[in-house]
Amino acid sequence: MGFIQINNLTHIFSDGSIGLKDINLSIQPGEFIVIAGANGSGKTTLCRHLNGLLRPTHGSVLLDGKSVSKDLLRARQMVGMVFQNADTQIVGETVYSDIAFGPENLGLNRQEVEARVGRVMEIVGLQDLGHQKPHLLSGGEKRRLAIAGVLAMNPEVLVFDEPFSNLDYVGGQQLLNQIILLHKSGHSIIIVTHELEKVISYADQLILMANGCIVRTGTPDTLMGEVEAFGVREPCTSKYGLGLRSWLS
Amino acid sequence: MHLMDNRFKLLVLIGLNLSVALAGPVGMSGLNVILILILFRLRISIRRLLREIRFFILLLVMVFTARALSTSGNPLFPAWTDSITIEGIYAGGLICWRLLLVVILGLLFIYTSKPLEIKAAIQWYFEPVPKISGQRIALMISLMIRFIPMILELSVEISEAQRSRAVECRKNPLFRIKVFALPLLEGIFKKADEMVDSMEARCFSENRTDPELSCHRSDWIFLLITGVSCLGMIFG
Repeated sequence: MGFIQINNLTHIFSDGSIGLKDINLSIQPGEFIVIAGANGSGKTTLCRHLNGLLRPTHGSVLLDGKSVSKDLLRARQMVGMVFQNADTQIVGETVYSDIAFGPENLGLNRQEVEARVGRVMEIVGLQDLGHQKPHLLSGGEKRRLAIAGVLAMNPEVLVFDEPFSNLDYVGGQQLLNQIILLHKSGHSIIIVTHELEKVISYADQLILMANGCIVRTGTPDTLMGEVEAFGVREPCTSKYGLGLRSWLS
Repeated sequence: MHLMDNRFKLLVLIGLNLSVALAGPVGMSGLNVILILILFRLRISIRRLLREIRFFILLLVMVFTARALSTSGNPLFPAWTDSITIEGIYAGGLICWRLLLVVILGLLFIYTSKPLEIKAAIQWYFEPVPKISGQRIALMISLMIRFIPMILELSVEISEAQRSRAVECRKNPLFRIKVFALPLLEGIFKKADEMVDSMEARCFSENRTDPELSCHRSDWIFLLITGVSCLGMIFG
């Protein structure tokens, strides 16, 4: 059994459309997973089941052996989710208050909240921007703030939904460096993306989705030849026989 | 003033506003002098202040004109039938002066307080009120402060997108309001939905860590002096 264990997960939306169909998946602690697929393939829907934002129509999602639906608070502490649109994830009126939002929700004492906020601001490099208004931050800084808000909850798993969207090259590089550091510090990383070239060289496992189903699972190098059949662009280096290279090099 | 406890500042603000409503010209002149001294002490540029309230000044001009024309009394220009009256000028001047003082007091409060501290003070005042959640009100204020720039950005984006498709050629204002408001509302609701998801993902609850507030002797002294000054303004 994996740290995250998904058994026969099916999600049907209120309008009757099928979001996910019979998903079975096992994720081990500390793994770096990339979930790829065309728009509407069910990637985001799957991620929203990991911390109980959506509940299964059938099947179950277990976190370290316990059902997500039975203890939502635990699930949301364990699985931190960084959404595609950083703007709507930021709820505080300053950088500091946004990072403190999660720990305050947990009812931690003020000293603990301050300690967590201080530590996390250092990790993401926002320590000098504590009093800054979030709407004045750059795209990359906003994304780092969104990560900081999630890190302050001390999660074990970090889920990134299309983390590179709307980021320029430098912002993308900074973010990728941040993700790699978080992985090295022991977090499990799940990245939902269709831009494989940025992250694939770091992934332990690639999951390809189409029409709400997992269509392929395996190590990235074994699946590279098939990704384009599922609406995902194969990285250039792989296409031209150079293997999977880091986007940072 | 920046270091004062916001609970006291809020009380002072309410007290002064009530006094302005009840005081006569003598009391208001006293407050005026004090406010000007505070503005200089805080190095707040008068030009910046006037720029911030330029639309409000326009409103004051309208209020003054309406009052001057609608109050009965001795006409300033007896030859005209619908003339401005001396009593109207006095009443209009007084009401505009009052409104201006209220706005300047509010601006001073905003200039010298952090949004977080204002939120904490409001939450503290609502805590003992039954059936009203101070936490919820504080969160609503916080979200409002956070989302106003986002809504403005969205409205600018929609407006520019429409102008790039020559919306100015459509002269019907109702049509223009409709095509602007519908996508704006849709965008706001969509962002609100996304925000709810992200708040839930971060364990949003109403039993949150309370903000830290601390008052000092100087806050009490300031409150006392203001209380006495308010009484002086009203009865002086």
